[in-house]
Amino acid sequence: MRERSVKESKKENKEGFFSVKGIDISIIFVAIFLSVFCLVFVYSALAFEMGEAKTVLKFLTLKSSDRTILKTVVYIVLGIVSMLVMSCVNYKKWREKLPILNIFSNPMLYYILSVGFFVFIEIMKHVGNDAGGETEKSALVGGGWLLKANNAYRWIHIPGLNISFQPSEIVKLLLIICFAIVIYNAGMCLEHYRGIALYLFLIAIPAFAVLKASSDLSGSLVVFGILFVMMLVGAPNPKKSISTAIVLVCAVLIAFGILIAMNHGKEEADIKPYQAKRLLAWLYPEDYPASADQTNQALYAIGSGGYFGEGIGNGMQKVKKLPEAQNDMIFALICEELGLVGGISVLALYFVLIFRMYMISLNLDNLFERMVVVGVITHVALQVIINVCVVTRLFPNTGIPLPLISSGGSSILFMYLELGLVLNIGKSVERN
Amino acid sequence: MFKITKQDLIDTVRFEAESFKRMAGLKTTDKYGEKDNKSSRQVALIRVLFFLFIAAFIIMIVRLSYIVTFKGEEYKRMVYSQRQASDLVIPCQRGSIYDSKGTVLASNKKDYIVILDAKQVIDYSKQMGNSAYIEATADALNKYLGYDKQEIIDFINNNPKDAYERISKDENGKVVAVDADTLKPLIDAIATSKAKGSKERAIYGIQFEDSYSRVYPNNSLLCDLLGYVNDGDEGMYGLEQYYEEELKGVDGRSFGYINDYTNLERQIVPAKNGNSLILNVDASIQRIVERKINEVNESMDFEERSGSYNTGVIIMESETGNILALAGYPFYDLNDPRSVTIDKYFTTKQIQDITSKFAISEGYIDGVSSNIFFEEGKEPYFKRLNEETGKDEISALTQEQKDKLDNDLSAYVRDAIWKNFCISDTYEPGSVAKTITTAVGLDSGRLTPADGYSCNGVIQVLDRQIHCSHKWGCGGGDLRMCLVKSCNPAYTEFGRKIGKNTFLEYTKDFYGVKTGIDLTGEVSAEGLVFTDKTLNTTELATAAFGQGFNATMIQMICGFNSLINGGNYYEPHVVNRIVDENGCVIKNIEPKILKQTVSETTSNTLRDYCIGVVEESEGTGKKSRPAGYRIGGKTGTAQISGVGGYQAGQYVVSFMSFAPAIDPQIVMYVVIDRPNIPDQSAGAVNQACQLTREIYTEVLPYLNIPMTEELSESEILELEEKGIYTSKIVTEEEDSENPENPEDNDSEDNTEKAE
Repeated sequence: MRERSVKESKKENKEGFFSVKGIDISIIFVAIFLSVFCLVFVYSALAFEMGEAKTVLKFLTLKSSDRTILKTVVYIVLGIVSMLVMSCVNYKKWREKLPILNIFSNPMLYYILSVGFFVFIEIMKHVGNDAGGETEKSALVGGGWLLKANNAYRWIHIPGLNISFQPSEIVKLLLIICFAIVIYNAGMCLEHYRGIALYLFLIAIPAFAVLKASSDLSGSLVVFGILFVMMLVGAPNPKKSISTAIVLVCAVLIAFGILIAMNHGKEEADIKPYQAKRLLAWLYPEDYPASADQTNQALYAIGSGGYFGEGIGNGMQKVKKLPEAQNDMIFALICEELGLVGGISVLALYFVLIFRMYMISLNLDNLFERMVVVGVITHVALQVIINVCVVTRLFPNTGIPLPLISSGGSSILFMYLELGLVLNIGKSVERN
Repeated sequence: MFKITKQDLIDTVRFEAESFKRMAGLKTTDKYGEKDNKSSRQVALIRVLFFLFIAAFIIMIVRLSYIVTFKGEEYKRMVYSQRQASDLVIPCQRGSIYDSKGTVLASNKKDYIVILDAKQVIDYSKQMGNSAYIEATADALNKYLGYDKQEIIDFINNNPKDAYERISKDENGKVVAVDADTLKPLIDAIATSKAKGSKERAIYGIQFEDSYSRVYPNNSLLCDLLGYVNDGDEGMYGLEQYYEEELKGVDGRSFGYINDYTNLERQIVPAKNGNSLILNVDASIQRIVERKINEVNESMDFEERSGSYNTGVIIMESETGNILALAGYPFYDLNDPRSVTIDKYFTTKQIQDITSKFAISEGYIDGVSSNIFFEEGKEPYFKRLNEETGKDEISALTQEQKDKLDNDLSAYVRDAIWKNFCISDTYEPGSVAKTITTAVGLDSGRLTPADGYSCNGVIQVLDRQIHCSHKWGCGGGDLRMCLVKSCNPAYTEFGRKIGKNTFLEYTKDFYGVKTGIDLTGEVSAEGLVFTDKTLNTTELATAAFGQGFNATMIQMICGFNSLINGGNYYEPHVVNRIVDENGCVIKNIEPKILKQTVSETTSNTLRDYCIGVVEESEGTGKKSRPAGYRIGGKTGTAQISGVGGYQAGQYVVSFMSFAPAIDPQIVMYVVIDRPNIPDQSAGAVNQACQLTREIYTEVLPYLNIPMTEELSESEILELEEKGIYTSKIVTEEEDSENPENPEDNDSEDNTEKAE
């Protein structure tokens, strides 16, 4: 025991502020490969559109689809760079030299920041004039601090820089770190139901914030799911935490059951909330054609692709049929254009990604690091599974991006940051 | 059951407070993560988690494979069916064609394609819980459009998701549009059935898609020049083909899609209509020309067939090269171009001749000595010389050969009718070419007006004798008289005088080059014109009077026009300007001088000579002078060459003319290909002169060209009969401006035009 710590301290002393030793290259490659898919298919999904041209960066006039591509390229490059920086930082060394960085080990910092984003959104909603009309697809509101799109406030916009980001993507990263520290600090409390209840209460607040401020149910479920899985793995008494999980799942199912029972048989237009509509459309697609349409179109896309696909760019469904083909429904587009083979390849890439992270998590000694890696694994896996299951109608329709492939700046950038974190942690794993 | 004591509550609160302190990192000692007692349990849990994820992945892959394998076909069909259903084509309108006065020559008619939306019917009847609505739809289609009721009902029931089935079809199953008049009762019935308080069952699921079809309001007027539009909406022949890119336009599209709030939205890319053409052609002049052509052809009814093979007339503005009228008989109905049948345009004799020609080119019979024989009550047969016995063998055509010949024949006839005689057919121009020879001689200095020739009826060129049209010689005279009398031996001599090189040098501007008229189908006849190699002494002799080579009408008139207007060879233009659908000018087509052919002096001299052709008592064209005007011109009678040399008794007669004589404004060229009269050789050219006169008589007053000549009693009577008002006092000064507006006089054509 003593010898080992001496050895470790020696090793640490040798290392500088940055080090690349021991980085798992395969994760980097898989991530970049997924980004290539992202560019190809986002372009394929948007290329046919005739959106109005606008000048960006003062000299480049691009139509809207090209602007999206440009934005995606920028974010991917930014993401890869930050992933590499993140993975190289030797955080122990930094902490040694700059003790002030110890404040980052306080979970309250992350927690308050996360919840703060949504409190900010909620406040700004009521500030300033609502410039956006109902018909406008996106509008700046809240004194220029919020970007309202599709009737939801999912973006915070920084007026001076003209940059917007999606706080729900940032908080996933922040909360994974936050609750990894929480479990590291106080995992023993989870031995009792009372402790579990407190933990659930703590994770429910940001999840609810996501739901309330951004009306993003699926995002809030993913946040809740990641943190819950971290608890399942980290808690000292699995029996109690698993029974809690079972109770929760049952509660959700009952809630869904009630929703369905209340609304079944009503006219499609009268059903409220829209979640009930989607549940019913999932169960009875024939009876609720309008709500089931998006999933139906996705299925048509997958089915018509066959085994080898129509060829890249030849998909027909993306043309005004498959909404959000560049985003939540991009997997259907891949299946249409590359066929079953392409779809399985993408799943295989995700599998490799998850598998590499899984191997890292198995071989870690530090609970905090393990919790972070488990959180990231869960994040990636949950989003892939929910996304693909929605597209193949195994789940009710809900909007979740496919990690790294769906277009969207924040989700790509912060997913890369999470991977950078895992790579950083993975450096300490001894491989043989 | 549960009893919660105060102590429990206190414990809980204390526990929660303690836990929160730890979680929040407020208590730095005794951290869970620093104890080393949970690793194996967590690894096991992570494994379980990982295997759950693997299970999920496997389920997804199985699901994907299931969809692709078992539902692939069905979904693919759905993709295609909905693509048709919501992506409507918004048809564009082909550009219209107007004459110079705004008369519509070609425009579009809006028709409708009937579409059955089975999905709507099914949905509605489901919603109402009554399948009688399917019947209502079928009933309406049966009642108003004559569809089989049961078929419609079956179709709707069998294709409940088909929202777009074009049901208006012709016998061959091709989708056709139905005109608005036919559909009106149906549309009314649908409207009444859906109106409030209607007792009828609402008719759902019948929709109409716009479709435009080409209409030519004047039927056959200008047929050769306009061309028609085929079933694929492509222009064929004439302007329709030449200006296809301008006329056709771009179809619009309408996409239907479900937006984020699950409402169906439409995005429309509007259609862009084609551009319109405004022509130089004046429909009123064209009408006069076509009427006169028809009259002259009806009058030529020698033997069984009626009319000539072809009659072409071009009227061109001398100072611009603009085409004012262009007609090629026989005409066909542009609204029904396929109605061209053999019998309608050719006599039995002609058909037999043409059939023989095809039999030769197909190799069924060997040309020179044989022919196909047609006798009543017998199958067509042909004779072939049996060389052993020295007798003719008779053999009938096989069915296959007959079918082939029929096909060849109808294709030939169609093409012959549809193509533009004035620009696509070549013939030997005959004596009209003497004007060009004369101009070449004068311009090059090889001939002077004083050069003369004394004609005794025949001239020997090497082994060949060339005869004058006067059997015992016309007597000849100076250059002018030789042209006036159209003396072939004289021109043989002139050709020799001009010499091969000068002749070639000059005539390459006239013969064997396309004029560049803006119509499809112009031929250059390049291969049918003498060249440096072929122009030997005999060829030069015959070429000098217009035989032995081919030209097109448009080449001749453009060439001649340059001779009498001061030497400017204009590019002939049919279209004046191209305008867009709102009438804004996109392109003006300005007159364009291609080349200077001869000098002004030569041109003046030649004009004088041509006036002589009409005015001199010995002039060949004196019958062409219209009442009240001086004109100039030149006649042409050319033999037709065919298999085995010139065809006996078959001539192309023509008359090239300009009016008025001083300061010509228009040039007209009339060509009658094989006029159907007993003796084509002698008086046939008078047919062309007569036609020229008839046309001038009506066209010149229409064009506001003042009469300069005194009218004789008979001429006044004639003009009055034709409804052309003339002032009897015709003196040069007072009447140089036309006293009356001739438009009031000239039959109904003008009133129509004025609209």
